[in-house]
This record gives sequence, structure tokens and C-alpha cells, in this order.
Amino acid sequence: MRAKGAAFPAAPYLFVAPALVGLALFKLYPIGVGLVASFFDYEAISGRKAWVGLGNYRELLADPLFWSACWNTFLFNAVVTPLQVVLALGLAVLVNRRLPGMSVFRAIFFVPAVISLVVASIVWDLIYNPDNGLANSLLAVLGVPPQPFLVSARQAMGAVIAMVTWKGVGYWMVIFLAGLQAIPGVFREAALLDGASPWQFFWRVTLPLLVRTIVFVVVADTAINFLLFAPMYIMTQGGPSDSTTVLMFEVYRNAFVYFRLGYASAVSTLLLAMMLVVVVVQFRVLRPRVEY
Amino acid sequence: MERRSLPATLALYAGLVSIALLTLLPFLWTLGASFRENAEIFRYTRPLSIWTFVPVRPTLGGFAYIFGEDRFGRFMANSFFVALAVTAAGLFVNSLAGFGFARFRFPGRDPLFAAVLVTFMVPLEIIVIPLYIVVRGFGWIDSYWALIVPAVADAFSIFLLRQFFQELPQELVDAARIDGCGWFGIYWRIALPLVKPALVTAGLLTFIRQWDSFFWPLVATSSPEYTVVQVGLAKYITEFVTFWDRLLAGAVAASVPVLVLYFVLQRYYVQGISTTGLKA
Repeated sequence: MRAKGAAFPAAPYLFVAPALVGLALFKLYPIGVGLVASFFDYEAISGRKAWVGLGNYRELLADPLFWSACWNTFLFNAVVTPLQVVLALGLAVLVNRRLPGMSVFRAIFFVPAVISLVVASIVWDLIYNPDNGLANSLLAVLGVPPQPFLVSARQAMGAVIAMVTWKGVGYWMVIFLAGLQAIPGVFREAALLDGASPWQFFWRVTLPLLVRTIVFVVVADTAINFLLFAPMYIMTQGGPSDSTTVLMFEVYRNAFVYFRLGYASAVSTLLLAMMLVVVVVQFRVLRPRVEY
Repeated sequence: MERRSLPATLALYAGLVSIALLTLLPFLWTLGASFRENAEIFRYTRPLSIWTFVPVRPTLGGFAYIFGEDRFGRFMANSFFVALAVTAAGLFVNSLAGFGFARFRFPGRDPLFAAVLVTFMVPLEIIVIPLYIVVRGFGWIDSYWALIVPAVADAFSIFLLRQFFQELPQELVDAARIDGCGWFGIYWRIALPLVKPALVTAGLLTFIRQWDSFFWPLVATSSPEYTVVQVGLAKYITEFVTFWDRLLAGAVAASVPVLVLYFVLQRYYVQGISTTGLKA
């Protein structure tokens, strides 16, 4: 008998090497180049660049639109991510049963995830149309007067949040379903034999054992939502009166509409810094406490 | 089957049915609209009636155009091939890395993992120009290689699989080591089969991400032979007019393969197949 692995210190590096080579070439190197661009000013036509040091950042911090985009990004993420995570976990627990018809519900809840984000944004734009959209038709049935939705600065962000939540819940539900599979069925039987209610079982057994899955969903969902801008781009163009302009929309607009690559890169760098702070906090708070 | 009272079961189903209806409404409207003529698409939304969802004069015009005049079948085949290749290669490469990060302590592990996480916190919009230059350096522009290779190594899958590999009991690994199993054997024969639901999930979500990818294929390819499904769809929205019948028919057609895939993989999401619990 011999334990090969222990005497082979290169093993871990061999496991991670193929992926790291790919990420280094196609992600980390371009990221480095992209972020260094934040210290330059690019001429739109010639593409000539000039070193401006922290000039882009100074301009950024003095721009009121940057600060309102920060606030909108914060608002959007503070609502969407918890909402998606809680709903996805709730649905996963509900459909993770051996009851008739559950596979149908599992499939239906996943449907929004199979429609491309662009198409979903276009369809919801039509749904939110104040004059002939489906949303107001449904409200009319309930006796609610027509709402302006995306054309109102007060409602636009809420409308975008509703759409994004709808689109994402099924996606994250699937990951929770996988996490629930890793919880041995005997735990459930034992807990029920001990007289635990399903609610107690969820809080005392399921949730603690699901912590690693929850960490993944929370962190990944945060990163994805911070970078989301297609729904705003398609449905509101960041308006009305910049009420749905998130930082990522500013990145896009500066890079591809105003051709201000350096400035876009500076916004993106600050966005990355914010995400890293949020994610580090999430990792700290959600550290697994139970080993089994 | 679980033992629970009849009212509780009825309440559960009532809740599920109402959430399902809310979830499905936008899709049902899209589905109905994809069988309408362009002029009819917005005519019956108000007031709400059966004709809001069911086409009054059903037509296959949108589908006939995209599969007949246009080459939407080819676009779908391209996306399918690319997504399948990325998923297959990605599952191997990323599960290796996930296992490495989960089951070993080694110098540099945490900084390397942090670097992995950073790669999915920077938008493609910022890295697209340097990425294009790298890919052009390999001579891959306007080929399948450009669509497949850069997407294989993926932080999302590495992170997801790492979380699941961490759940595996250490005793299992120790026992295998004592039996003379090498690290690759432990990964391949013991760890991988035990995280099957996570592998299926990582594969499914990788496939969907590739199926949905738009911006990079738009930049990296130009020939119709390599046009992917989302780029094909975007052609029906022009600066001056949107061909709603074609767009919605394409959207419905594009959702079919992923739905079928999900149905096929669903059996991995049924509680009871798990054998992970060593201690239990």
C-alpha cells in the first residue's frame, strides 16, 4: 500500500493548470490590458492614446451621473440579488419532492432561463407598453388603472427589477436543486422520525448543509447582476431621466457610443473594486459553519 | 411519497400553479405571437382575452422565412456545435481545477482562486479589444476556434464545482489513497461520479451561456457559415424596422433545444439518487 498523492507536491498545480492557462490567456491578460487603459485617453478617430494618469478617475468622481449610476447600481443589486436567491431557494425546496407533476413545475420555472436575455428584454418592453402591453391588460382585469411602467422615472427601476428577477430565478433554482441532491435523504428521514416539522428541518438541517451552494449562488449572482445592462439598454436606454442608468451601462455607453475607452475602463475598474468588496463580505458572512 | 395533510398539499399545488402561470405568461404570449402575421402581433393585447395568447389567423410565415429564406437552421446548428464543444471541454478542464482548489492545500492557492473569481467580474466590453488581438494572434478570427477555445476555461464552472467537491467527506479520499489510488484516479473514479448533479448543472448552464452568447461571436466572426443563433436573431431588428414575426419565431425556435436538453437532464434533479452521504 502506498499513498502516491502525498509524495507528489506538483499534483495540485497539474489539476488547476489547464484552466489557469486558458483564463490567463483569454481573461486575465485582456483584463490587465483593459484596466491599464483607464490611465490613458484615447482619441476616437485615430486611436492614438495619451497618458493621463488618474485623470479619468478625477473626471469620473466629479461627474454627478457617476454618483447617480452608483446609487442605481446599489439599489438594483440590493433588491435583485436577495430576491432572486430567496425565490430560487424557495422554489427549489418546493419542487424537490416526489409528488406527481413536480417535473412539470421544475420545467416551467426554468423556462425564463432558456430565453435569451435580449429577446426577454424585448418581449418585456412590449409587455410594459403603457398603451397596449400585456401588463396593463392584466392589471385592468384586477381593476387597477393603467401604469406608465418604463416611461416613469419612479417605476422604471422597479419594472426592470421585476423582469430581471423573472428571468433569473429558474436559473439559480437549478443550482439549488443540485445542492439539495447532495444532502443525504437519510437526514430527512432521521429528522422526521425525531418529530421535526418541515420548517424546522429546513432551518436546522437543509440550510446549514446548503451553505456552500448558497455562497456560490450569492457570489455568482452578485457578479452577474453588477455586470447586467442589456435589459436597461433595450427597455429604457438608462432613462427616464437616468433613473435606470447603472454603472455597467455607463461602461457600455462610454466604450461604444462615445468611444471613450479610457473613461469606460476607469468606470469598470471602480465597478470591479466595488464587487470585490461586496464579495469578500459575502464570503466572510457565509463561511460554512457545519462540517459533515 | 411524503405524508402530509390534504389541505397542505392542495395549498402547495395552488401556490405552484399560480407561480407557474406568472412565469409562463410572457413566454405564452411570445409563443402565440410567433404564429401571427406581423400586423396582428399587437392587436389583441387589450382587453385581455383568449385571443391575447391564441393567434386569430395562425400562420407559419415567420418560421417559413427564418428557416426557408434565411439560414436559421444553420445558425442553430452552429450554436449547438459550439455550445456542445465548449461544454464538453469545459466540464473536463473546469472540474479538474475545481477539484484542485477544493481538495488540496498548496502555496498560492488562495491568490490563484481570487484571480479566477476576478475573471468573471470584468465585463467582456472592457476586454474585448485585447481579447480580439490575442485570438487574432492564433489566427482564429472567423472560425469555430474563436468561438470555442476562449470560452472553455470558465470561472463560473470552476467555482460551482469547487463548492461541491468541498462537500465530499475527507474519509472517502483517505480511504482511496490507502488503497493505492492516485490523485487522478480519485478525481476521475470517486469524486466525479459523486458530484454528478453539480456536473450536470455546470454543463447545462455552460451550454445556455454559449447558446445565449451574442457580443463575442458578433465581434469574432463575420461569415454566414459561423453565424450563431443570437447574432442571427439580432438581424431581424434593423435600425428602421423590426420584423416581429421573424424575431419571435426565431426566439421560440431557439428556446426549443435548451428546453429539450433540460427535460433530458431533469432526472438528475430528483431527490433520492444521491449517494454522497458516507457518514450517514
